[in-house]
Amino acid sequence: MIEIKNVTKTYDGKPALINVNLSLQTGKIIGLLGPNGSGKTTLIKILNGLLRDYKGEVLIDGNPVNEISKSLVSYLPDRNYLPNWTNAEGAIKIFKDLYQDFDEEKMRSLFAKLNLDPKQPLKKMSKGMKEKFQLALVMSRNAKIYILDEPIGGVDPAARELILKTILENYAPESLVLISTHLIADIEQIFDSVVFLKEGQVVLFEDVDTIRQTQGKSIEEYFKEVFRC
Amino acid sequence: MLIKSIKHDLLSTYRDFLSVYSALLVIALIGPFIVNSGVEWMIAILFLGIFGFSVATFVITFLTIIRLYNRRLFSAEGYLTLTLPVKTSTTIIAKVVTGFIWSTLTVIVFGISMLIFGLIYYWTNGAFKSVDYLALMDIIEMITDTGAVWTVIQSVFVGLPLTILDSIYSLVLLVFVMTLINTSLIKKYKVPVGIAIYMVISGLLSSVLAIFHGAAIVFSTGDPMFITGPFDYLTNFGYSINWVSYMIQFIGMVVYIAGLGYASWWLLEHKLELE
Amino acid sequence: MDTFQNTQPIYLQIMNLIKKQIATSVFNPGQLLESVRELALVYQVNPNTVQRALSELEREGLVRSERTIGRYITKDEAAIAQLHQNLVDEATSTYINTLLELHMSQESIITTVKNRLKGDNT
Repeated sequence: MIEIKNVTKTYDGKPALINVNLSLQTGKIIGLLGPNGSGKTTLIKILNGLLRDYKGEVLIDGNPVNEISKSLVSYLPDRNYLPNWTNAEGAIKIFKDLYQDFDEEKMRSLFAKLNLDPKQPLKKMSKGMKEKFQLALVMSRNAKIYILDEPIGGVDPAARELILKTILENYAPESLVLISTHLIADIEQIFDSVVFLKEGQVVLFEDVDTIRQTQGKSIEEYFKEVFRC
Repeated sequence: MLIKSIKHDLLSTYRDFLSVYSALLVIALIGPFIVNSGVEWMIAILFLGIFGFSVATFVITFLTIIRLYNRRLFSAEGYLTLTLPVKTSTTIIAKVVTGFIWSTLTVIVFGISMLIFGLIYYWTNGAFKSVDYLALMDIIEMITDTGAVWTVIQSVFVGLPLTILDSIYSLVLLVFVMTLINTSLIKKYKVPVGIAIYMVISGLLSSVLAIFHGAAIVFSTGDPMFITGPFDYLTNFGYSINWVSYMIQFIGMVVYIAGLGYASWWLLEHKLELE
Repeated sequence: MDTFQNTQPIYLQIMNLIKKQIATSVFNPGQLLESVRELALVYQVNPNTVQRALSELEREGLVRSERTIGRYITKDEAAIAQLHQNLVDEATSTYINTLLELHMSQESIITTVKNRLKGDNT
C-alpha cells in the first residue's frame, strides 16, 4: 500500500533520512517509533507531499504523491492546522466539500463523544479542544490510509482512551494506519508491527508479538534498550 | 475542484473586504450631504476620510491577496491546504483567480462609490430637476454622430483584455515570488529578498517586452498596420489601433503569465519544504 | 482495559484468557464468540492479534468456526475436560515446584495445603 524506496533527505548537509526502504501493507496498524530528530516527521511530511525535495521514490497505493494519493490519505499532523477565520462548521464544510470519503454521521457521533461543539469559533477553542477537533475530522473520513503524527500527545487520559478506541473502530482490513508516537506504553497494544527509526535509518521493522517473544520485553522496554545512547 | 477551491478562498477573505466596501459606500452616500452643509471642519474630515479610505482600500486589497497566498500555503494552515486532494496547478490558479476577483471588485466598488457620490451631489444641487427630453435626445444624437460612443466601446474592447492580462500578470508574478521565497532555495531574509526579486523580475520582464515592442515598431512601416480583424471598420471614425503593438503586448503578457505560472507550479512540486 | 502485559506476546495472553474462561465455565460449550472486531475493542488490542489468537485456538480444537454462524466454543466435552485438566496440572506443578524450591518436604507441602483449605472453609 505504501512503498518507500531508497528515500534520502538531507538538510544543509545534515542527513534526516538515509536510504529508507519500507513496504507497509494494508490491514495493519503500524507504529513509527524513534526519538526526536530521528526523521519520523520528515518521513511523514514526504508521504503527505509537504516535503518535495528528496531522493528516492514513494508510492501510495501505486500513485506518486499527488492529488490522488492525498485523497486516499487522512493525515493528522502534530500541530494545529485549522484556519482561524472560521468556526468548526466551516472547517467541516471544507472537509465535506473536498473529500469524497467524509462521513458526516461518523463525524457527528465523534463530536458528541469528544464533547465538541460544531458552532464554536476556532479562535475560542482551547489547545486541547482543537487537537480533539482535528482528530475527529481526520477520523471522520473513511480513508484507505490514516497517518497520525503524535495523536495522543497532548490529550488527557480519558481522551487518550477514546482516541485509541476510535482508531480501532476505524480499522478495516483494507486500510492502513501509520502512527508516529513517543508514548509507546499507552499504545503498543494496538500495533501490528513497529518501525524503529534511528538517526534517519530504519533499524527495525518487525511484528510486535515477535519482538515480545524473542526479546521477552515490552516494545517500550526494547525501544529504550535500542535507543540507549 | 477549481470552483470549490475558489469558493473557499473567497469565503476565507470576504470579511476583510466587507467592512472596507461598506465604508466606501457609506462615504459615497453621506459625503455629498456633508459637502452641501458647508460646515468646513466636517468637509475637511470628510476629505481626509476619503483619502484615507481610498488608500486603505487598495492597501487592504493588496495585503489580503498576499496574506491569502502566504497563510494558506506556507503557514501552519499549509498542512491543511497542501494535503487537500487538489492538484497543485488548481491551487495556484484558484489563488490567482481569487486575487483577480478581489482586485477587480475593489476597482468596481471604488468606481461605483465615486459615481454615487457625484450623482447625489449633482442631484441635491438641482441638476436633474427638470429633464428636457428633447434636449437630451439632441445631445445623444450629437455624441453618436461624432463616433465618440464607438470610440469608447472600441477602447474598452481593445483595452480591457490588456488590462485584465496586466492584472493577472502582476498577481502571477506575486505568486511566483512568494513561492520562491518559501522554498529551500531562499533561507534567510525572506521578505526583503522577496521584494527585491519582485522588482528585479518586474523590471526585467518589462524591459524585454519593451525591446520586442520597439523592434517590432521599427520593422513595421512606421504607420499603424492593420490586420484584418473585427475592429478595422471602426477606423472610419478616425481612431486607429496599432495591431502590432497590441499583439506584442498581448502575447508577451500571455507568455509571461504562462511562464511564471509554470515556474510557480514547478517550485511547489519539486522544492516545497514546509516547516 | 489493562488486562494484558506488554512484555509477552499478546495473542498468547488472549489465548490463555479464553482458555481460562472456557475451563471456568465463563464460556459454555457451543457459546458464540463476539466478532474479532468487537473483541479487539473490548480488549483494546489490535484486531489481527485477536485473529491470531482465535486461529490458534481453532488449531488447538478449542474454538470452531462456521461460515454462517461465526466462531464458537467447541462442544467437545472431552476437549474441554482435557483443557481443564491441563490447567489444573499446570497450576499444581507450579505450586509444588515453587514449594520444593523453597526446600519444603512433601509432608509439609500436604499439611500446608490441608491447613490452607481448612482455613478457607471457616
